[in-house]
Amino acid sequence: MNRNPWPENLFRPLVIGVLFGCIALSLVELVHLFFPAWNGTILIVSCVLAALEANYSYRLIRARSLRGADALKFRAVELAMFFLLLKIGGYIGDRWTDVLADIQTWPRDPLAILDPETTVAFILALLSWRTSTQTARDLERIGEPPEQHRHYVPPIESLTSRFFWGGTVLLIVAGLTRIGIAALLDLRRPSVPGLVFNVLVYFLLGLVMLGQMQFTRLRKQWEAQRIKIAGELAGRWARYSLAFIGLAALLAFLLPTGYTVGLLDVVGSALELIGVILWFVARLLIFLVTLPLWLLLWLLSRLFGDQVPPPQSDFTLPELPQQEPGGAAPDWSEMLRSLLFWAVALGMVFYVVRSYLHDHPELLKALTGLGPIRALRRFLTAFWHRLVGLAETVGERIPRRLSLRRVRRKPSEEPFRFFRLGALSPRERILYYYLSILRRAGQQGFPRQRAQTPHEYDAILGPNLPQAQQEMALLTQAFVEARYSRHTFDREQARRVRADWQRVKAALRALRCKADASDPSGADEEHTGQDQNPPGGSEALAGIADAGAGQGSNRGMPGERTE
Amino acid sequence: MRNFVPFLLVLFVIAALLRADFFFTIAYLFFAVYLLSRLWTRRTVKHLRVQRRFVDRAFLGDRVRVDLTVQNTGWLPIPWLEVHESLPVQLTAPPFYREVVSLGPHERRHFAYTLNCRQRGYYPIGPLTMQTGDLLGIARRNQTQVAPEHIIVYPRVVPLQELGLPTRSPQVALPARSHLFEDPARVMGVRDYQRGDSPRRIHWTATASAGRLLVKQYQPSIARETLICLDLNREDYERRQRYTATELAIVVAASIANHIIVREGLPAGLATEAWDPLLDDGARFLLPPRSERAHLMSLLEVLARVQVTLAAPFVDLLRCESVNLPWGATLAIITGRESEPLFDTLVYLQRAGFAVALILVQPGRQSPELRERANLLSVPIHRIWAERDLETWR
Repeated sequence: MNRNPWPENLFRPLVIGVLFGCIALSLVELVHLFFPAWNGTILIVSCVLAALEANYSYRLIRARSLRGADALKFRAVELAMFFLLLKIGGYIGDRWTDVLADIQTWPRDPLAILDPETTVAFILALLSWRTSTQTARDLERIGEPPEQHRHYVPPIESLTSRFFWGGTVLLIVAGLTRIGIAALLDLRRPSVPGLVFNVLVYFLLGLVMLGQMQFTRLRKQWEAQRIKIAGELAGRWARYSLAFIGLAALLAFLLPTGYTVGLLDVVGSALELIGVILWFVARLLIFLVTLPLWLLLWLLSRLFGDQVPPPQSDFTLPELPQQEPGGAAPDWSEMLRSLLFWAVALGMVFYVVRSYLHDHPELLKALTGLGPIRALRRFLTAFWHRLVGLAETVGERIPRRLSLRRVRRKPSEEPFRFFRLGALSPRERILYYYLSILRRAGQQGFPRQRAQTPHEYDAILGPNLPQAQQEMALLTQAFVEARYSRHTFDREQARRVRADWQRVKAALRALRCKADASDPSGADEEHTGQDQNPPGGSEALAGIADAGAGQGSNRGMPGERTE
Repeated sequence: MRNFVPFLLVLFVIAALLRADFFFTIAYLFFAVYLLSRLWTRRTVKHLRVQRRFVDRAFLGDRVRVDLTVQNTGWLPIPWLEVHESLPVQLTAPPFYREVVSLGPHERRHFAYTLNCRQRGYYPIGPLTMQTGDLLGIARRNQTQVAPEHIIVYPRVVPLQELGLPTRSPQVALPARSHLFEDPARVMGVRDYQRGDSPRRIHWTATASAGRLLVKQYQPSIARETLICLDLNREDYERRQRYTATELAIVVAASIANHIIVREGLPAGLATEAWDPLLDDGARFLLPPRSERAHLMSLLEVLARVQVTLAAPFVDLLRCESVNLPWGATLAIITGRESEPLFDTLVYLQRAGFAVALILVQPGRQSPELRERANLLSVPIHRIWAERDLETWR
């Protein structure tokens, strides 16, 4: 790849010079606050020239391979020349007679050469010169293999740090110049509008420079690895960099910058707005609830001639934040603007921090390892688990309570409803036959215990019905199938089960007759052919779950009707 | 750039403290740079399409040109793209192709490089690694990889005469054309009657038509199939000469297969147990004898990629694979070491009705003991090692 010498020979020194000029300009502006009559142009020019000269002299020393005493001599002459030029520059605009008079005082008072203005300018120029030299050195070191010592800082990091520090100083100085040092601690001061040109130039040029530094780094890396580099890469890099920074600048200028309402005020207003909305909803609900009552009262008043006041239907919003005494009322457009500003700003900070932590997992790990954060995290985790557990418990208990309440409803409370056995499906009929036997056996002293399964109950009841033991077993089996399987049952199966049911029923009747013979006070319900307590079909079948699972209560079982 | 984000936050704090509107714009500028850099880098990689074109089969000595096309299908340009194609060291030096380019929106770039097929084998071309990043070095570099494709370099095929095998080859019957058995159901053609021909062979219809006595010619019915049994068991080759010997064994196998299928038009197969780089594991290959050219290519493909391995004894392979061969088939056994079990197996195969030829790939001349043993077994034994040996065979 053919290197273009212009970026190294002209572009970079010029950019560095302009960057230092931007900082010097802000410094001069700050000094102007205190000494309005002072002309600081010489300071700006000297900083720019010092930066340019530093770049040139560094390259000259490298080219001539000056070392040791030679290099020191070169530097000493360079600095002396600086001072001399600054001194001469300080006389610009003065009259010749004044200049000569000043020069004549030098032999008598040599310290008169070091007047404050020249000394400050020299120190600042020296700072600019020194930083520019370091920058030139770092630019040349880009792409070199890293040195093996503990305090090594990669040149790119060094350059960017310098740029960012310079930017920070520039912002602070420019900001102080704009707001004034006296207003610094006044947090309620209005925001300062307006574009600061030298700040814009500094950061835009700095970003362009960062792009060039990245290109240099990658190019040197590729060259070291002997990777073929496409010829058009350098040109495109410059074009894309400019377009990219231009696009970013456009985006930055479109976003809201000023705010009249502080963050806490915005949050307060937002909460207040939410409160107003909730209040409105509550009022609306109350109105809707009281509306039927009012209608009733209105009808009564029509009948008896009394006057009934109309329902509360005043939906006017409560008073929103009022203006402070002596202050202007917050304009809603300003509020919206402030809200937008804070949303953008906080979103920006959140995104940057999140992506930074995402890119640096070691930092995230270190942060999460800190004692207070760990404790907070533990607390939040425990709190969350507690909430989840509570929600799960509520989710489990409410349906259970509801079902229990349904089961525990007293039979006497159930409404009397006729039902037709023939209207039930074959499966429901089988369930009904079994439950009927369960009820009858219970009445005759063989209640099913809550924990008994159908087969366990059959093992208890069966031996007591020797003439229908097999039918009872068949009925139990049919019930279990009907309750727990997904088989389809036809009418023929239901009819067969009915035959078993009738035999078991007859056996139970015989058992009761035997008992009645020994105890004549027993009631006879079979004469009526109808149960004492015939429930509705659906309610009868509602107890199936408990009967099958061995959890149901021994409440009165449904009666039956013949088909 | 480690200190970009801290600076951005500092910038925001300064702007908030000083309440200068323009400073927020500067903070937004840096945030926009940060955000766009990340999004740009992430999106560009998704729009990269790569196409690699080359002839995936080559013969030893061929030069294969590989055309690589990288296309940016998106609207965003790619400021820089580092393309790194890994290549087999056996085919090119240095074993990679690298270039850095910049791709505009919907731009397509072509790269080309050449592979020198200097050694048989099954080689991966790639993977192609593409790396890109942003212009300022803020976002992490993004990398994507394109899976490798493979090229097969066939082993060297030497004309059989060069190896000196024809007359003493495993297919001894081929040049003489003396068929041991003929199938009267398969009439191949007619020829003039010769004294001694059975009258049953006279083709009466053709005789009447031609006006002279013609007899039928039948197709040979004996199995003319050849199975090349290649020993690639690591233990059957001396350590110092293992590489040379196995490579030569593979060349011999490929040459015999080529000769039988191309020149004789007869079926040939291959049986070997070797390391297969395609499976990255040892495998037993059995290509049943066929006479098609396509079969020869698949046979050469196997020979191109097989490598020595630590496998079961070679005699097991011979005994196992001979079961599927028809009676009278020929076994060309290529190995690096003679042994008692091998000779026992040769006897077994002969008794089973197979024609057997042993090709030993080892240095030195044939010892009198070996010659005596070969005569005793009636098995043709050939020893092959260097070009010089081949020359003496011509």
